[in-house]
Amino acid sequence: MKIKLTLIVMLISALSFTKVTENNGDKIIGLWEPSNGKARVKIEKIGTKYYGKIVWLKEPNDPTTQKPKVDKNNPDTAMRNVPLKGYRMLKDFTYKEKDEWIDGTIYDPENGTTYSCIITTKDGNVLNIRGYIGVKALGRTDTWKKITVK
Amino acid sequence: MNLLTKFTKIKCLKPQKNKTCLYNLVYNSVNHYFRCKKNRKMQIEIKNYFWGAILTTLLMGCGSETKVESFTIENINLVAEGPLYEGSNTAQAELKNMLTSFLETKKIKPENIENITIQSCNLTIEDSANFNIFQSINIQLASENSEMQNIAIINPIAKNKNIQLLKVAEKQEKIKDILLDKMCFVVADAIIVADTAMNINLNCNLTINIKYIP
Repeated sequence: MKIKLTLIVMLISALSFTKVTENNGDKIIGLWEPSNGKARVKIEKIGTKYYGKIVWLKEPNDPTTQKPKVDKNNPDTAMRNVPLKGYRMLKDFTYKEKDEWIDGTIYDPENGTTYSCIITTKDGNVLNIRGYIGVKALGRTDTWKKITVK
Repeated sequence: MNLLTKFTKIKCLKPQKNKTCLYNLVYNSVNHYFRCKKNRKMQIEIKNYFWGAILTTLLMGCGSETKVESFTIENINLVAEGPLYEGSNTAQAELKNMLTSFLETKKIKPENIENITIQSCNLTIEDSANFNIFQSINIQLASENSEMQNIAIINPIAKNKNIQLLKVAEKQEKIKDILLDKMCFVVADAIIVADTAMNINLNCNLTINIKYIP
């Protein structure tokens, strides 16, 4: 009887732990603004991974063409006509634990470079986005603040 | 006295009755080789044959023929439920083991596939007028075990047409990994020019080329 009870308790706690882990991962879902205030990025979940796309630009049009900005620096020339509005600049993040999302990439449309990236947060209102090449130590961290839609 | 001459003088390399056939075979081969040593021309000839054989084997190994099969994944239904707002909206579809039956029919083993590339991508919509609310549509592929890839774009959308042909990406390194995963996602990021209460229902047709070793 005791063994059965112990097993049930263990099962329930395992299930609740899984649920809590999933919920913690979803903490980054929402609208975020990088420190330069030039864009707003919506982070959403596809499958089990997290992706962020640009949904708002401070300057939506290219000053030279006066047309909506496109990804003109993309190393793939066929993809240089992709609009920056709607562009997925954060890709493939998986939730590790302790408010850390790993194995993702961040794309900088200003130079067409993709960096490895990790995301951390302390309170869920500010994201620390660290982009790096190769080793984490050689990188730069930007702080993104959460935008609350009224 | 060079090393080769020394080697010929090793006594243990003589045919022995109590040794195995393999030993005698090795003995005969080595003995034959060193007898040829006396004739430099013949030795060079043997060397040439040896390297020729190695080269032929390598060339045959590297140059194994590959085949290409085309396959169209039809009517991938990309859905985004309304109301939808002006700007970027996402419609997506989930595909499970979509290549399995095709590969089985064609008797292609996944491990023999060298690469998979997107040949063409088009979108259809039942009511052609509905394409008029789109400014652009960008199609991407993603899976659990691989990185998301941009595969095709149309910007701007051709108005009043019920089929849109998209421009396909040149860089397609990860398509094989994504499509061979158990489950993958087709994601359409569409820019809409005005708010709408309706749903997005796009049909995507992807033609892929599978290059494999038969």
